[in-house]
Amino acid sequence: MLVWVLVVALILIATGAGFIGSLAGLGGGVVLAPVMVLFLGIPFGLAVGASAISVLATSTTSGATYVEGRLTDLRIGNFLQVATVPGALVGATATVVLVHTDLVPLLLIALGGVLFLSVPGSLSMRHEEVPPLGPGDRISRRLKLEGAYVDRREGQVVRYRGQNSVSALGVMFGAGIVSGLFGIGSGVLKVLALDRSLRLPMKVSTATSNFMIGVTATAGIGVLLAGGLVSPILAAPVAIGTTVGSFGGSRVLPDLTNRLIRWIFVGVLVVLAVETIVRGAVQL
Amino acid sequence: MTVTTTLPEDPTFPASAYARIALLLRAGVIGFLLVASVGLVAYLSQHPSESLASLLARGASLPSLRAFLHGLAVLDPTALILFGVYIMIAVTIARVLLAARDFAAGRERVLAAVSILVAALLLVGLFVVGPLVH
Repeated sequence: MLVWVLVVALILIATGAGFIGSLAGLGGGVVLAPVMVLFLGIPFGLAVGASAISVLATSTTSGATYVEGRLTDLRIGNFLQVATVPGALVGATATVVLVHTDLVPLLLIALGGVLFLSVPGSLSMRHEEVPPLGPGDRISRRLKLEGAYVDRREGQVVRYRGQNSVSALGVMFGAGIVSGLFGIGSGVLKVLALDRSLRLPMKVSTATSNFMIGVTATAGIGVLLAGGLVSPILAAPVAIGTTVGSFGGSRVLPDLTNRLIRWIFVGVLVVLAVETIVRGAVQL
Repeated sequence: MTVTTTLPEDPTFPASAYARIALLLRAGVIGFLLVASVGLVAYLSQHPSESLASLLARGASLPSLRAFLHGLAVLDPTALILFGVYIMIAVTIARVLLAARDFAAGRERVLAAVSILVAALLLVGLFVVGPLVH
């Protein structure tokens, strides 16, 4: 395949991935990495490197819109990064080692299993437009992990307060490891932590996840760059495409309902779970 | 759910803090898009019939700082794209530091410390863990 054909294909695929990723709080890397490996013949390590750059691009692009619209919770996002960043350093270091072993397929299958197990919990809250305002735990009260946003769709201001901060920190550390390991931003796990542990409204969860995934990806990118896993010629079209796509997605999200965003998220979750398991099984 | 009619102001993160971070992110995106697009177009015009196999064979090892700066000086396409990536990385670290400053100004010591720790970890990842693993 000629490089310019590959570049055009990557820009188009990345635009779609960025759009969906921006709506669901994901980086888009979860779509890109497997497509690059399975359909475009790009080695796993380089696909991870390009995906990590695309995550950074999605986060920066959507982040600008969501922060400006005050959908992103800067307080909660910055607090939880203390768990995701160390996790990403561990994960990215492991990737540089694991690309030379046979353990990657097993890790993929395990990750797919984890994603599948998350589906019922997310579906159980499908009728809930906004979670009830709980009392918060000790950490969330002490650090004021709470806020409010203007729901354009509902035409009202919605208040929320974080619950179960310790559990959220644990999931975020795992999300960091997965992010560094697969270059995927692991927005799926971040949204799950924000939605199910902290009990934030879906829009705040996806917007805050989008803000965080860039920081998590940056932690891993240093390791991936030094490990020779970031090819600028592969990373550039992927990042340009996701930038365009996520810009579009971030313009659409404020006008959707939290329920619809949850359905989009669960749909992406199921597809990703199947795809990740298949990808692992194929490589076994 | 509690419904109110006005958005309560967070003294640590007033509307101006949100606007500042959004502006930083937007500047980063525009900077990246400009530099990376120019680099990509220049690369494709210099290698119109290159195959994927040939690209992969060349590898993706990170150039030394001197080689990178020289590449920038002569407008080497891959150095330009790498520069775009560095812009986004710098913006990401800057936004964490901006948040740390806002937390410190709001006398929220724990969150300020957490943000500084995150920024430090990012720098450690870039300049210590990466080269060590390599």
